[in-house]
Formats: sequence, structure tokens, C-alpha cells
Amino acid sequence: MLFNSYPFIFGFLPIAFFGFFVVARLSHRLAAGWLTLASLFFYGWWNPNYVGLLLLSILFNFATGMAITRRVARGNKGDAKLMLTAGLAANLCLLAYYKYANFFVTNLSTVVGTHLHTFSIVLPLGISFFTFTQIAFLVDAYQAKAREYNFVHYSLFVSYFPHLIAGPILHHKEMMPQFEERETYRANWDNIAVGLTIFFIGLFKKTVLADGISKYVSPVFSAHASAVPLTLLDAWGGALAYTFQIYFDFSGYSDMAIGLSRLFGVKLPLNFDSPYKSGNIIEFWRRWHMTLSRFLRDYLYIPLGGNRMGRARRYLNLAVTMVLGGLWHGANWTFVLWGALHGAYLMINHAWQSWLPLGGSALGRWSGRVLTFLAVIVAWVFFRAETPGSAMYVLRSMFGAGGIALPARWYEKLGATGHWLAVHGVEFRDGVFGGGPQLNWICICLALAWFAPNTQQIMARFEPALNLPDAVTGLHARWWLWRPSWPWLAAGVVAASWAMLSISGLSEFIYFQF
Amino acid sequence: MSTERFVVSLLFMTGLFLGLVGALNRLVDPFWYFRDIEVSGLNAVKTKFRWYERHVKPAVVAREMPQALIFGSSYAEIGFDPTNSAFTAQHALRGYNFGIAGGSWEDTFCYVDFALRHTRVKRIVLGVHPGALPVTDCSKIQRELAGPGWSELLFSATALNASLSTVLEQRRDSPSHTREGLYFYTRGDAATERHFREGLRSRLDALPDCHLGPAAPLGPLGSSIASEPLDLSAVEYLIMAARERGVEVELVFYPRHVFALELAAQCGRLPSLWTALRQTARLLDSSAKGVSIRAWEFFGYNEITGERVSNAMRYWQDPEHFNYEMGNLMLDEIFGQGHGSNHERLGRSLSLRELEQRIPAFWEERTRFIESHAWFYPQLQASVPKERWRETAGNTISRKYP
Repeated sequence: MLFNSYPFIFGFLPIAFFGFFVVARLSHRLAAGWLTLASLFFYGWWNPNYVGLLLLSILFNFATGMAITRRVARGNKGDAKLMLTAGLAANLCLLAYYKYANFFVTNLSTVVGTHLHTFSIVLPLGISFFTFTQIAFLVDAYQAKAREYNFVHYSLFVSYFPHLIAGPILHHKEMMPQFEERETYRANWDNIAVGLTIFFIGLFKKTVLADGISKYVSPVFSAHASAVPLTLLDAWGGALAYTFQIYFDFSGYSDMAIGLSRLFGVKLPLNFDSPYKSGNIIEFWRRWHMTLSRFLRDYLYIPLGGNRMGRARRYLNLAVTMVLGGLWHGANWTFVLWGALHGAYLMINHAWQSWLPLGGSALGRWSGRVLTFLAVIVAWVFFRAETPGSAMYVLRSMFGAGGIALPARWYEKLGATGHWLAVHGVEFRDGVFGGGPQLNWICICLALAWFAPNTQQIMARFEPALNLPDAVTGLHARWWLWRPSWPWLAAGVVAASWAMLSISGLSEFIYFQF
Repeated sequence: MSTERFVVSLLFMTGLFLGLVGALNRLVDPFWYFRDIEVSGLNAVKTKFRWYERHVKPAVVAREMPQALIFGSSYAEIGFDPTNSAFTAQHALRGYNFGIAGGSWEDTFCYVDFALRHTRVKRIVLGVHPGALPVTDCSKIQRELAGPGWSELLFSATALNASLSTVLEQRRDSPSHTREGLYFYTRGDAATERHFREGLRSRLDALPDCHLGPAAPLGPLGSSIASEPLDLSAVEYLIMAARERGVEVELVFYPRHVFALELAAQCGRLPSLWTALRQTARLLDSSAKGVSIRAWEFFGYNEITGERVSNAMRYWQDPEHFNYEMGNLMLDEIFGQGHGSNHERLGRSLSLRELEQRIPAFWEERTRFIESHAWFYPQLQASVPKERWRETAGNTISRKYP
């Protein structure tokens, strides 16, 4: 079930919400159980067959975590380590089988020059998230950071529907204390108002902005397969459209998760903090998918040695971390290349900072922001493309390999300038670029991403999430800060209505010739 | 304002707004899905239907269960009136045009399959182009076939936009379709002659090596039955449906204006056409004995297919899109209300034996028509670019045929 669907908004959510607070009057434990069952139903809506897999994963990891904790408490570190290794191996095997088996077989076939049969596997939804969440739990248990053990709460921590499909990746220590608190089980109008507002902001980002600009993406990224030529403008138009599609998609989904959880009185960690405002790539990774960055740092980069073993080793660790981070997103070489590219960016950024730290001038900050943005766009091309060849095709076109041409209808619109451009070699012909409407979309999205306050800033008065940056917690006297007021109510009604009307719609069929 | 009041107001006002949008969309019915409220000046002209017909027509067919259905691309959707009395057996059957503009063969096959599964259809007219007619994978258009959901019809920005446009465009737009699914396309347009010439040019553009002219070489005129076999599995499927369900199936190869036929003749396209017709006829001869399935061709040089190009054309909108006046003549012939002997008729049902006689007769008919219509080459010349015309003294006409 998707957050941006009518069955979720008008069916699942009200039932889960009212059921939780009604049951909570009887028993907090039962209420947690209710929410766990609701979460399993939410997961099973997509494919009931995989609910068993999720439950098995929860049972296995809970038992393993308990066993590790007992051994650590007894001082039996050796056994605990053995159990941790077995637990990690089991989780990684599960992920490897469902997510990477066919990728491995296909590549092996290519290397050995034969045709090996691939497996018929359907990737379980959210497997990367619930596996990583539980890997973190096992490591925390080994490091004696995971203390609370209540099976119902643990099941809820893993399966909790606001984070189950697309994160954030949670820490045991962030969630379990909240499930213990009595306040969580009491309906609170502040939480409901804040949760609903954040949810509708997220829904608006997803259904209006991300889905709205998405129509400009596919024609560009399918051009290679269908042998459609791409001009410089076509390629940049598609790459920028995707840059904003993924931004508002992920930002919207993160907001919806935080808002939904807040309805139940539970705060989730912040996962998205205006990453396109970053002045450099290091900062970008502190703002983009923050809980994944935290996971990779704590459970991969630092165990690999982090920055404690010299510059060369640090760069190697960075590269390995980012390549594996790329692979985590999907079993395709394009994700590996995306991760490798970001690894290279990070190495260059660290090297640059150690040689020539950037000054704090406005020009320096803006140069950094623009350069970072461009680097991120180039990397997104690999992330979106179906194949490395397709990515290179778009990238070459972005550098002018497909020629430079403006839409034919702009020739008339530009008047004398159009004529001057044509005389000086600029071609006017129609490609896949959507013209004025696409340009408007890109400008609006850019303005929102660069200049508008983000959701957690707007909601700063009500501490909307865990791990908020200082820049948010310090905001208290801005006119645009959210409060329950008539202007915000009007804005909320417009955003909610517009977002819900944009959830679904019939697509037009347009023919230029039959 | 308290947070309690904020929450209640937010939910109430959002719900109220969505409710009003739903009510407006239900009333205006911009996609012509509900088909129950039609108020002149408000929503009687469905100005947006043409863009969404793929979503709506399957749902209408599944709900209203017409017994006589027309299938095909825009040619069928524009050319066949489903209320034609011959087609509807003097209105004993309820007819509907399930043709879809821009529909490929793959789509058309899926619509036929859909209708066979979801309705009790008794009579089918299926418009096709000569060529392979394979059974296709319908999963690609499953969403269209499933029909629109309530959220899309009532609670979507697309529907709201379509409703508002429908209301605002009532005065300046005319209906694009009849209630029974017939599409008007450019019918009645004052620029029919221009559409026609543009249509012919675009067909010629697709054949860059071909030149037209009075004595242009005609190339191979016939075809060999031994040609590469075409995939006609969909015809086999229809034979089976006709046999098992008693459905009457009429497979109609779309007619062409004589200029389009001439283009095909002079650009070497007729052999593949005859090949397709022969292979279809052979399949029907061998496998459809005692089954109510026939195939029809309407290729010929006559006063109907050879209507002079003008803005007041009765039978044609362009070289291939025919008006329902032409379609009515065809349906009358197919369902037995045509006049005159078989040789004077507009079209013929296919059998191998008849086809072997028809091909030489076709070439003789062509020669006679061109010789008796002095405007033929001058008008054709006026319709094609200068560089694509090959003038030869004497206006000789090839009389060769296989």
C-alpha cells in the first residue's frame, strides 16, 4: 500500500489510528500489538506471501539480539561475536538472495560467456530497509547499546508502517523508549495537527511536484533504447526534471513518514534536509537520506577504519562505502557507477578541503552550491538510466554531442533574437524538450529547493522529528513558522485538496496522425 | 486557534472541497462514462471525450453490453455507423463503435478479446489492414481495459480540469463522437481538400524512392501464394470464437481512395496487399467451413472510391479515412442490403477462387477508370510535390497484369 493512495488515506489510516487509541485505553501493550498487526496488514496489501518472510526476519533477529545481549552481559564476548557474525551473515544472505542473485548470475553468464538460468524472484518490498534496521540492532546489541527487549515493541520497531517501505532506517534506541512512554498512547491534538500538516506537505510534494515533473523524464532516458536523438536542451531538460522528481519524491515520502508517525505520537529521525542547498558533497551526504548515511558511516565506514588509518586508506574506505551504498539502492551497474561517482566526489572534496579550505564569502558559498548541484545532476543520470550505455548517451548529449537546438516554436517567439541565433548557427527543431511548460516546472522546483524553507523549518516550533539540525531548533521568530491559524488552515486545505486530487488521474491519448 | 479546531476544520474543509469536486465531476461527466445527465449548454457536448475514449469505451461496452460491435482503428471509428440498419439487423441489435483512434492492431485485437470475454456480442465488424494479424499480449493495456476507477472519474485534478473545460467549451465546440461511439474527426471541415492532399503527401513521404506519374513503372503487379506465410493466428482465434459462440464475424480490409490505391500501385505496394488477402482467403477457405466468418475487400476504382477531391467530399475525409456514408454502403453490402449484381458491387467477400479472378479485373477496372476520368492525373499531380512527379508524353497506362 502506498501513502499516496486512496485506500491508505481513507481506509487503512483512519482504522489504524482510531483502533490504536481505542485499544490503548484498554492496554498499551495491546495497542502496540494492534499497530504491529496493522503494519503487517499494510505490508501484506502489496503481497501477502512476504508477510511470513518479514515475520521470520523479525523473529530471527530478535532471538539473535537477545542471545547476543545475554552473552555480552555474561562477559562472553567471543560467543557474542560469533552470534553477531552469524546474524549479520544470515541477514546479508537474505538480502543477497532476493536482491542480488540474478544480478550475480547475469554478470557471471557474461564473464564466462554462457547462458545461466536466472531465478524467478520477486523482490520483497522494503527488504533493504528492514534488513538494515535489524543489522543495526544486532550491532547495537553487541555493543550493549540495545537495552529494551519487548517482543511486541521490537516487532513494531521493525514493521512500523510509516518507515517500513522507504525508511528512515531506525535505531533501536530511538524507537523503543518512545514505545514505552505512556504519552504515546494518549491521543494528542498537537501531535495530530502537526502530523496531518507534515503528511499533507509530503503528499503535495509527491503527487503534485514529483509526479507533475516526472512526465519530462522518461522520453529522455528511453531515448537511447529507442534511438531518438537528444539535443543539449533535451538532455539537460530530462536530467534536471529527474533531479527534481527524485528530490520531491523522496522528500515527500520522508515528510509523509514523519507526519504519519507523529499522528501516533512517535517521532522519527529526520531523513532529508534540503540537500540541494549543500555547499559541497560532504554536506550533501549529511542532508540526503540522512539515516542511510548514518548507517553507512557507523556500520561500514568506521568499522573499515574510517579516517583513522591514513589518507590513502581513508579514501579507499570512502570509495568502498559509497560503491556498496550505491549497490544497496539496486542490483544494476548504474547504481554501482552512481555510488562510485559519489565516492570520487567525496575524495575530491576531502582532498580539496585539506589543501584549500573554502572561505565563508557569499560568492564562495554560492559557487560551492552550484558546483555541488551540477555534480549531483551528473550522478543522477547514472542513477536513473536503465544501463550504463543509456547514461552515457544522455551525458554525451548534455555535453553537446547530439547538437544544440532550440524548440522550433521558440523561433517565432524569440523574434529578432531567434533570427540572430539561427544566423549564428543555432538550430530550431523539435525534440523531446517540453518547451515553456517544462522550463516553468524546472524554475519552480529549483526555487523551492534552493530558497524555500523546508518542512522541518516550517514546523520548527513543534520539534517535528528527531536529530534536528541546530539551524532548525534555533528558529523561533519567523512569520512563516507554522502555527494553528487561519492562514495556515487555508494553505493546508489547498495543499491537501490539490495533493489528493493529484493522486490519480486518467492519462490523455494524443495523436498527431493516426 | 486551538490545534483541535485546526484539525477538525482542516479535515472538514478538505472533505467538503473534495465532495464538491466529486459532485461537479459526476454532474458534468466529462469523460462520458456515466451517460445519464446531459444538459444542453452545460455538458451535452463532451469536448474532452476524444482524449480519454480508450479508458471509457471498454467500460461502456462491458456495462451496456451492445450486441453488434465495430472494432478497428480510426478508419473504423470514423467510417462505420453502429446504428446502420443493416448492421443492426433493422435495429434488432444494439450497436456500438468500439473503434479507437490511433489504436494499433495489438490494441484492436485486445478490444475484440475483451468484448468476447465480457459481453454477449452477436455480430462483429473488424476493420483491418492487409498484413499479419497475430494474437497479441493484452497485459500492456490491462489498465485501460479495466476501466477508470471512481477516484479517477470523480476525485482527480484531471477530471476537474476536464469538467471545467467541458462547461466552458459548450458554445464553441461541437460533438466529436456520437453516443454510440462513431467519431466525426474532420468531417464537415471546410479544409477537407487540404487535409486530403496533406494525407496523400504524408503517405508518399513514407516512400522516399517512389515517384508518381502517368507512365510510372507499375512494378510487380501480382503476388505469389508461396510468399512468406503471415501470422494470422488472430483470424484462427476469431474462427474458433465464431464456431464456439455463434458470433458473426466480418473482417473488413479498409478501403482506400483511388489516389491512395494508385500510390500503392505505382510504389510497388500492391503485391503484399494481394498476398495478405490470398493468405487470409486461404485460411478461411480451409478452416471456416460452416462458420459465420467472412473477410471483405473494397479495393477498386469506381465512382465512390474515385470521388473527386474537393472541400465538399461526401465519402472521404482524406485518402484513407472514409465517411460513414461510404461505411454505410459497405455495411449494406456486407449484410445484404446492397443493390446490383456482384460485379457492380463496391466490395467482395474473399475466397481464393474469387480473388484469382478479381486481381486481373482490378487492373482492367483501373485502366478503364483512368481513361474515362480525364481529371485523374491532373488532380493527382496537384496533390504530390513536384519533385515526386514523373511526367511522360502520351499519358500511357500500363495494361499489364499477372
